Amino acid sequence: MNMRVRILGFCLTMIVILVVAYAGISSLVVSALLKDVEGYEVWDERVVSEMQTLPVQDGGRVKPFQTLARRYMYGMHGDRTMKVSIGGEKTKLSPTEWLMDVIFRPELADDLPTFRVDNSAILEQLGMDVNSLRDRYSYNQIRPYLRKLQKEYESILAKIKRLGDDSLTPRQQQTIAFVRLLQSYHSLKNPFILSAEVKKATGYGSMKDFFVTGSTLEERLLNTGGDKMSIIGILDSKIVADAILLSDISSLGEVSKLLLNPTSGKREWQSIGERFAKVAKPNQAAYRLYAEQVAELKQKHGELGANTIEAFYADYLEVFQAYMKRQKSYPDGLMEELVELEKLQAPYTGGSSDEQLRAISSFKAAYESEVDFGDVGGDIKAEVYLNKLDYFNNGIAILLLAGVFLIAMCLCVGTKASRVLYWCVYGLTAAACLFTIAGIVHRSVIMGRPPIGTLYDTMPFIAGAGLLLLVLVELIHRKAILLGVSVCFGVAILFLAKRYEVSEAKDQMDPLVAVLKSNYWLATHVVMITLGYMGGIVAACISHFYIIGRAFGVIVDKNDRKYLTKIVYGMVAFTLLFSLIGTILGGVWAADSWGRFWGWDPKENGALLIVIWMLVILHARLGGYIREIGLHVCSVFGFAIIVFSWWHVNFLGVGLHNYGFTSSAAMTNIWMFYGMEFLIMLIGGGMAWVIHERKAAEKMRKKLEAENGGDSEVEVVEN
Amino acid sequence: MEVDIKMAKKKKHMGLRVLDFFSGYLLAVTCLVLLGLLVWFSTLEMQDVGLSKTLERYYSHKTIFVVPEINGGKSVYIPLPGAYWVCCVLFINMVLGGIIRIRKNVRNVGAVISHFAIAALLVVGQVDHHQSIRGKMESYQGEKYDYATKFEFTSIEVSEFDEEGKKKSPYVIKHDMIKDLNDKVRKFTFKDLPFDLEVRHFREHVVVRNGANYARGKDSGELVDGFFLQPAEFDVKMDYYNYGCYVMVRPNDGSPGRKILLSRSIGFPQTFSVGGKLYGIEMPNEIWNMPFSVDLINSVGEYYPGTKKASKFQSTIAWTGDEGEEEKIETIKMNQPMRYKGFTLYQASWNEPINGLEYSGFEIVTNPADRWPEYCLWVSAFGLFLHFALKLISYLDRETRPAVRRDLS
Amino acid sequence: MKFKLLIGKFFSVVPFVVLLASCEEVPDVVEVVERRELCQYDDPKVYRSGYSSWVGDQPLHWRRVNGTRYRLLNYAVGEATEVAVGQVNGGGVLANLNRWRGEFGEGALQSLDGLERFEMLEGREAYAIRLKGSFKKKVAGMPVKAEGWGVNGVICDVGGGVMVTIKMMGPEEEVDVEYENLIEFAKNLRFNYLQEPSERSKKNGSMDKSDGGGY
Repeated sequence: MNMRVRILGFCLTMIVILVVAYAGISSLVVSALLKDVEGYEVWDERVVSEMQTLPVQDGGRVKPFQTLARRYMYGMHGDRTMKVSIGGEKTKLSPTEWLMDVIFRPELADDLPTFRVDNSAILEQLGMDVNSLRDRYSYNQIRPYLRKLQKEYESILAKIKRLGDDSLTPRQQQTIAFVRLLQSYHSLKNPFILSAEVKKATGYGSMKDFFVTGSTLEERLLNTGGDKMSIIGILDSKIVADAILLSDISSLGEVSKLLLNPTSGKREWQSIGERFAKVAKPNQAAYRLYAEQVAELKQKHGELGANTIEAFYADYLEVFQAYMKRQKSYPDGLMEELVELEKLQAPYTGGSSDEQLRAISSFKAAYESEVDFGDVGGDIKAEVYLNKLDYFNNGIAILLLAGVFLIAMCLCVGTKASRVLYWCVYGLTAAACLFTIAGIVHRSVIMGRPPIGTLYDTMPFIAGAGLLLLVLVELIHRKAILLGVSVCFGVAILFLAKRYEVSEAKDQMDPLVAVLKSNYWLATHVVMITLGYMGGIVAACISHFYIIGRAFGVIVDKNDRKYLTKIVYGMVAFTLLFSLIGTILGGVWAADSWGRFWGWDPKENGALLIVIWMLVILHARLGGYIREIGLHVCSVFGFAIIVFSWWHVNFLGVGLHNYGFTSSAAMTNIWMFYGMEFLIMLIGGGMAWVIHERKAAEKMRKKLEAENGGDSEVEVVEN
Repeated sequence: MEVDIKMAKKKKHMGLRVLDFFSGYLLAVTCLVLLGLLVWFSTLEMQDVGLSKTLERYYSHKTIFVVPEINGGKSVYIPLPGAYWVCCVLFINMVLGGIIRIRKNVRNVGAVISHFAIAALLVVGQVDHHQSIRGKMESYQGEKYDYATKFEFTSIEVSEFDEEGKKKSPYVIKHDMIKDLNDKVRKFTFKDLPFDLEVRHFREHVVVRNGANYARGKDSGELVDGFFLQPAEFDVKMDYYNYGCYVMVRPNDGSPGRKILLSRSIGFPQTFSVGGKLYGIEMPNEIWNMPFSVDLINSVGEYYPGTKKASKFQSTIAWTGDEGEEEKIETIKMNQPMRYKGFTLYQASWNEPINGLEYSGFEIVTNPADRWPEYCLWVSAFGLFLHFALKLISYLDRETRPAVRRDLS
Repeated sequence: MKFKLLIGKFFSVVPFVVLLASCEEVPDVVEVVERRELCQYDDPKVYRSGYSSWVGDQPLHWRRVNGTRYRLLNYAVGEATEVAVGQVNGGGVLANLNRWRGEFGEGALQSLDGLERFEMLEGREAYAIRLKGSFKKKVAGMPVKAEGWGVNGVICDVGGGVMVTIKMMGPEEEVDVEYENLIEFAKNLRFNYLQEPSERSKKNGSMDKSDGGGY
């Protein structure tokens, strides 16, 4: 067979493996048809860039509005940007733009395809027409079915109460998740000012009327000229309006996180929404009591009329005063803040972009100087810069480019162009590596802690460290094979990171729980363990290349094979060493924080499994039970063990290292991965068997030849 | 060549061949694979039956064979040897093959060190396995606490009350004495007490049910004083056992006996009288008297603003040791326990203050092996490092030399 | 070589010795000799989470048994008589007494005059009542009836709308002779308040929680 065809076949197979892995990680295609949004006006760039640096409080730290917007967009939209068509033109909306729409222009946002639904069955059961299994829907598309959805939701909740969480079907779980998203979306909308309905119901034109100028009430009372009937009417409507307003504000919900408290100037500030909720509850209770008492009065005196007014009025004033007494007053500064916010909001509902810009700038200026973010406050500008540089995704892009060059290089193997292309690929891979490492450092600096503290953190780190190692080894040997490994490895791990980040929809830079707050241990134990994972994964990637390469007849040179085997052997030793040291350090940490060195915790067991397996590989090789292919098959199996320790144990739901997430989808992906690795091991095993048989036949032939008088040497070929 | 080796093998003495087997790679690999399987299965099984049960099943020296049960008791019909015994065999293998019979040259120094350290670790691990004790000390402000309750060990305590209602030093029936009494009865006698106790129907995890509100089921115990024991589903995440059993008090003077239902959750001594004296009986997790006392001065728990994510837990305690020793004031933080005379005291839980009194839950561990496993592992890691470093050097050496050699030839 | 074999044997025997030593059977009759020294666990005054804070001095022949949420202290007397210390929120002394009377089909009292009264719980006024006859009540939705039944009840308003009740219920003849014991028990009933934090705890500023933010 032509070498080039073989190389092509090999490349295609590697791509197929990557795609299968990708399919396992993400849930592939979402309907490509762009939704046309009518009447959408794109935000002014300056306003967006000013807005995205607005500090907000979320997840226990201060971060830019942009990061918050990304988190929400991951959760609802399942992607990092929103593609829509505006007036027939394809447009990408950034998370910030989208969240600004949701907050400031809810009527427009309701038309945006915000909600990603992975299983359309949950909408079909409501009677909605759907096109494909996975699609994105706007709030307005879902709106007609909300009531039915609510009913379904309640019945599922009832089921949980009756039979527990485990009783739910996947579709019911998805329904619940979907309803929670809708609730979250709802509470994001329009949090600052009075909605049109509330304005109409209460008669307040703005927050200012309600909070600051109490005079309107007095004026209106004066204007009655002492008519008791009108006074009662005015007082009553004031109280009813208060109640409506309160119920509206106290449902401020999630975006109340935005609202920093510029006055406290302390680390422990609370958002306006939270402070409001504290007062809102007793005040609502006061209102309920008032309503009951008024109803009693009506029963006592009969409906309010000319002949009942005198007696009614005396009693009513008592009830009114009791109500006013029960009213809890609002915390200092709260009203002023709300008014400030209203000022911020006003220009966004129709003002010019200059006005918007001015509003946001002055709003930021109002507290940027006053609030001390303490140790929870990140560097807003640095973080926006981090978001903009988007290191890890750009790393993927660079690596993909390197991949294209690499295939080209393989196809013109032996020519001069191939040498040039080699250095292109090398340069790009090195650049991707440096970029990834820069990203890790940048993040680490912003977070003010060592690079790895969460599961997410491990992925870029593994990618960065692995790429560095491969690039360095490649520099020594320059056999190009490792460049292929680098590209596949880097793309796979960084892609995994990307998908994980989107699907978790969490801010991965949020501060760590108390027990993890130890820079010393994060920098030693966690880094060592992760390096151990990295070693095993890199070894396994090389082994994949070896097995598939041999199966395709691409890796034929004995020296190449030996070279790969030696590297894998070295990586196994590397993995053993780092996993062992990491595990010991983990034990020392555990002894410090939990009082015991070893506790058979699942995560500890996972690390132990890696150590044991690496020892098995080394001893089996020393004992001669495995040779080349055997080593590679074992190293592929080691990958499965690393994934068990890295991912699988987190889903077991026991132990102190518990990450608290359980997702059947993720488990499916893990099992898919195991299946794929098993397949590759089978290929390796089959190959070893074929080679063994062939060699036995050869030996037999030679032996026969020797017996027939020939004296050729018996060559022992290591395989 | 090959033929020679085969001949040599044939000539070998039977004993030597056994030695070969026990010091060989085959046994090493087999043991390691078995150990790997055991660790893997036990990790999976943990989510169904909890940590302590799993440890008992897989790692106890009493386990000769274990049949893994994952996915909620569905057996995987592969009997595996108990981890303790696998480790024993591995130990022998390592000592014979990795230390005694290994070729003694510079290249193997690292390997010998590692093997030696891991063999030592297995010995130290046994000490840990047999002797480490863990307990919980719950403390509120304003009291000096001088005891902890042991994890995973229940006990039955019987004590006499004097005329003023004061408790006398209680007799303790330990966990090991009652844990096999699922359907057996065992009689306990006491030198100074005018009665015997018959303990039966011991269960590891029960709820005490009120007979007025619940009907008894098939597995329920009998009704005593309006209550009965109902076997309960074990909560893996809590890893908490609410032990329970029934006892019969049999006075020595032949007067009628008295049935009493015991459970950890009852939490106080139930009383009865024999021969004009009052006695109390209860079933706490084994009380562990400490050679020191702890007075909680304050306990601080903080969360990140706007979240329920803990950012800080810490307790300040006044520690009083043996008589004559001075009181010490120490602060216990996350990742910073207090160590004293073989005891390690660390913050395990924290609650909002109750009635204005702050609370901290401490865990107390003693472990004679304490830091030895760590030292062993460090030595083994050093050995490994040495071993691989030597290998790497010789590899790089070979990699760079051939060019020269080719030139020479 | 022989030496090495011996070593091997030695190592393989060690674990078996351990095994044999640890697998002793526990005999059917055991004399318990181990006693524990008293510690703070044995002090009923020390608060433990989840357990009742009430302390009573019971007569010798009463047996303290397991309680419930409504039976903060629970005793068994004789064969079928129970004594329960409980807490009732609201209703007042008279209403609660009348509820008890209602269970024996007796009409409601209009005032507390004429009832036996005494002091308990640090000088608080308590009232006692004796009832007997046929008893009718709904327990967990099921009607319960008994003939020849008796109740000795004590009720004490401890303030804040909380009533402490001590109710002894059982066969008439058993209950009848226990009346004096019950009153004596009531007089000695105590409540363990949580201890005050010590001076140095206060001094260390642990109670200073700023304005509650973050907790």
